[in-house]
Amino acid sequence: MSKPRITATSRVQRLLAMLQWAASHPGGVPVEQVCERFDIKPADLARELDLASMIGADSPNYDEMPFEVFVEDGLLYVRLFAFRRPMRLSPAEGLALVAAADVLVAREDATDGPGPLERALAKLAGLLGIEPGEAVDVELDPDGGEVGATIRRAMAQDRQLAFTYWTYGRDAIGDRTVDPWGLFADRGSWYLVAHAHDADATRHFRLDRMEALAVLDAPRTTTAPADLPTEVAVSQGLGEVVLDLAPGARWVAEAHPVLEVTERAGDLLRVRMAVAGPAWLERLLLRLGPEATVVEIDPALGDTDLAAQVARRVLARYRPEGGGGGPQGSR
Amino acid sequence: MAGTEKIERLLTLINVLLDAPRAISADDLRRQVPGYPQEDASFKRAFERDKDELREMGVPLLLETIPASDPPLVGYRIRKRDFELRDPGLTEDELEALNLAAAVTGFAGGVGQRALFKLGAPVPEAPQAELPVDPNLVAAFTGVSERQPLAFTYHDVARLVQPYRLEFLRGRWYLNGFDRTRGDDRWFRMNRVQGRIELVEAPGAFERPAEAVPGLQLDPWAIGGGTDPVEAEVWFDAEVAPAVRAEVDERAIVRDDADGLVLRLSVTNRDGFRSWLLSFLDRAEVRSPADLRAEVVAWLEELAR
Repeated sequence: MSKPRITATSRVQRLLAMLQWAASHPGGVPVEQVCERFDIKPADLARELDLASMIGADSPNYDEMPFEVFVEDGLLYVRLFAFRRPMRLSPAEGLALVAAADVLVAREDATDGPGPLERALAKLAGLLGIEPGEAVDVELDPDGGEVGATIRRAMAQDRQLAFTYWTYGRDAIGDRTVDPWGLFADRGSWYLVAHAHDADATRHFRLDRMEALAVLDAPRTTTAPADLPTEVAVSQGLGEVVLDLAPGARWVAEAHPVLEVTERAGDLLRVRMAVAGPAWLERLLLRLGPEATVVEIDPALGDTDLAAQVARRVLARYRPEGGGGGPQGSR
Repeated sequence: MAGTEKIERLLTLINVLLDAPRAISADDLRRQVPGYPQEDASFKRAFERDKDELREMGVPLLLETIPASDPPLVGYRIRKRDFELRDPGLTEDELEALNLAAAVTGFAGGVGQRALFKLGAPVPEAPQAELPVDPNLVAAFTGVSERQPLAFTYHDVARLVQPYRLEFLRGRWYLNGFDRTRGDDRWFRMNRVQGRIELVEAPGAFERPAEAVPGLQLDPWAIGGGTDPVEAEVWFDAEVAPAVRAEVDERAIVRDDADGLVLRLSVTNRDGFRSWLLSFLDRAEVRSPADLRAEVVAWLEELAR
């Protein structure tokens, strides 16, 4: 993957930052130190410095040149006649810093008073005119927590992983053994991309649905998938369903990908959808209740009476005599 | 990489405008700043783009009438105090901590990196966890920090909102504020805002509430609810217990063993509660109170017929 294209805004600000930093060392600063601090190649730095010394050079007044720049014996010397202070933070920049700091500040050890991040956040808040912790609150797990750390360790040591997993779409719980290949976050949740040995295929697993995670002694036996996914794809191929939705259930057409939508008489919306898993459809039907009617259904998923069948199954929980015993008696 | 001529032009433009004793007309700028196209329409386009670029950098361009011009001409100027960063006085270890935070979480496009350049920190690495960017997020944050009301359309209603707080929860951005249209404190989901958020009125147009805004409650049995709270006891089988545990406040847990997980929840949205409960199919059961249990049973019986 190539580095993202650097925008004009970023380039102007990087240049000013380099010049201001160098100017704060009147005795000169080694060029390689500038390159390292600002992650820039020596040739690129030389081009940026050339550019800086051109600014205002066309002007009839010498005093309109804002920078004096020269390099001697590997040392960079800069004098500033303007741009002595950095530019104000734009709202976007302020938000980016406050949001980033807010994620980690709760993890900071505060036993000896506020830590450096908390102090930095308070100073930034003062600068931006907000109350620290009140204007912006970011609840984000930046690394998948303990489970994420265990998975990273397994990947670094080239080991297999074992865990118990709840497959939400099929409502099935089972023990899985996998070769872990990658971690990614999508819409606030962390996922593992792995080769699942039971399915002999690449699967992704949500970290918060794993239980009893263990790093095995056995090394990984597969090779990394060519394309590691970075977002959860909608699984296909499990069959389709056609539903008639009453007005109270129209949101379904917006909340889920639909293959076809038609308006029907009686204010009904007819939608054709691909189903991620049988349990997924069962949940949807239970939730919608009388607002949805199954018109057509792939036989692999059930028949048009599916909602009633699922409702009866759940009702059995509430009626111990209906079979199954239920948790009522287990107290 | 952005063109060198453009960088040179932008820097020269700022240099000329910064603390200029009087506003400078667009025509004068065209003469003083090298690199602008000669043709009128292309100059206008290039100049407009540069103004946008400056705004994105956080540089406010003042539009003023040029003194003693007759007929009156408008020109541009940048005030030093608007341009320069007030020194927040960050120490080396504070900068280091911010740098680390920016390497963990951030937005796409290097906006956190630019902020750290300005503060004098070394370049952080690209963030490992990316926050989703919402097109209206910056306007909303500006409203929060500058105390400027926001105008936008939400659920097909035009609103005027005093923004208090932004929250990122379970992968989404939310905005809290006082909705003047409805006369009520509300939460808005940012990706449901229709069109653009506009900043209206001058900064400092309202006072923030004396007490901190309580955090957003996303629990389906409570969010948007309006009924009197009832204490519900809900059982889950041991197999889904880990997933449920990850979702709820641990203070809600009253039992957690091989027979399953039992939660006590304060329900204020009975429909939301039913939908959430039924998403566990037959792995969950509401045990009490009797009337809530009866509602769930009646819903299922209606479907089972």
